[in-house]
Amino acid sequence: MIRVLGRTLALALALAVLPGCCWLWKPSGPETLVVVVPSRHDGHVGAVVVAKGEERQVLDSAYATARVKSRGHVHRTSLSAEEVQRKFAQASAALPRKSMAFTLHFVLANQTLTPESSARLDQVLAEAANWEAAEIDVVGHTDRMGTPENNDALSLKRAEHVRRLLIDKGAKPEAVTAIGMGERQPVIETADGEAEAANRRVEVIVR
Amino acid sequence: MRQLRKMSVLLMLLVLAPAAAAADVGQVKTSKGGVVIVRDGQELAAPAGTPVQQSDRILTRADGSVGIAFRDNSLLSLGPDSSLDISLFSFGARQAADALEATLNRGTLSAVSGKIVTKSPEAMRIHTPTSILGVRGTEFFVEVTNANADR
Repeated sequence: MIRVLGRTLALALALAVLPGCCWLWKPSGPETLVVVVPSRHDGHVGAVVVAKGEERQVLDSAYATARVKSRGHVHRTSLSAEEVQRKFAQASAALPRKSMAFTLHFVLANQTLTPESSARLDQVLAEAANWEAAEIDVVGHTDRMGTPENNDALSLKRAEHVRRLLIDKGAKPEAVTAIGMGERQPVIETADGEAEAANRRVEVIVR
Repeated sequence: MRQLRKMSVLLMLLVLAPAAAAADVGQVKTSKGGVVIVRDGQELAAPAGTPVQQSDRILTRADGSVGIAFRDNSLLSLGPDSSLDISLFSFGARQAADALEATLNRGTLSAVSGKIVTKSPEAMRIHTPTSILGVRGTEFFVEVTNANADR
């Protein structure tokens, strides 16, 4: 009688302990933490959509945070600015500086830069001198007059012209890239075939 | 003749495809301590000025941190003991939609979105072992803990 009772007790004990021990043994698995913060450049708070399977959570306020484990739902929480700073100090310090963009315009139907745009080339070189490893992208754009193919060629031609001017002024040739975007990235959206001076431009980006 | 021309166009595409895939998508701008780029199974040193390409894996050691600027002005940086795969980058291409996809395998990531997100929200995605982050803007941090250390 006592032996049977002892056996039952041992079995009950084993059953009670088993889930506990396995829960302890099971590796917890990877975990993701996401925090949206105000932009260091202009303070703007954007949004990140956190998706796990069918579930979606939108983080769109300052320091809104989500934790996502392998199992279970996306867990919403919030971190303080100090906690974020502590956790991400080194990653944050490694973020490259923001690129600088300069827009150049041409005298109509010509490859000559307007006088203001000519002066801007010196600003481009002064900015590039501040960088450890500066790249200069010279990106030509057109309006929607003519065919897309012709505009690709025209935008590249203008960009190459500006690239040459920058190199003549002392920029390293290998650091300057000319790109033709054609009519694909207008400043002002227009119907096809329409002339729009604001879209005929070369953007110079130092990054 | 027409057939031949079609064939030669196809051949040209085949020859050009790998060259396009290997194009630089960005550049290392800041690099501190142990930082390497794994490309085609080889570990490359990654000081400031090193080009970054699609399919690269960026690794930082315990003393390392690195910052990358992409062609669309997206900025990504890693803290120590981190691993990031640059899965896909396309910007301003005639034949493909804009996209930036990266996978944070482990460690810490700091991110500021660029022109790709300005033009098409959520075209920038950060994958982690447990989630997919669709980026509408602008600045955010991600940490992956307890992950597979082999990656």
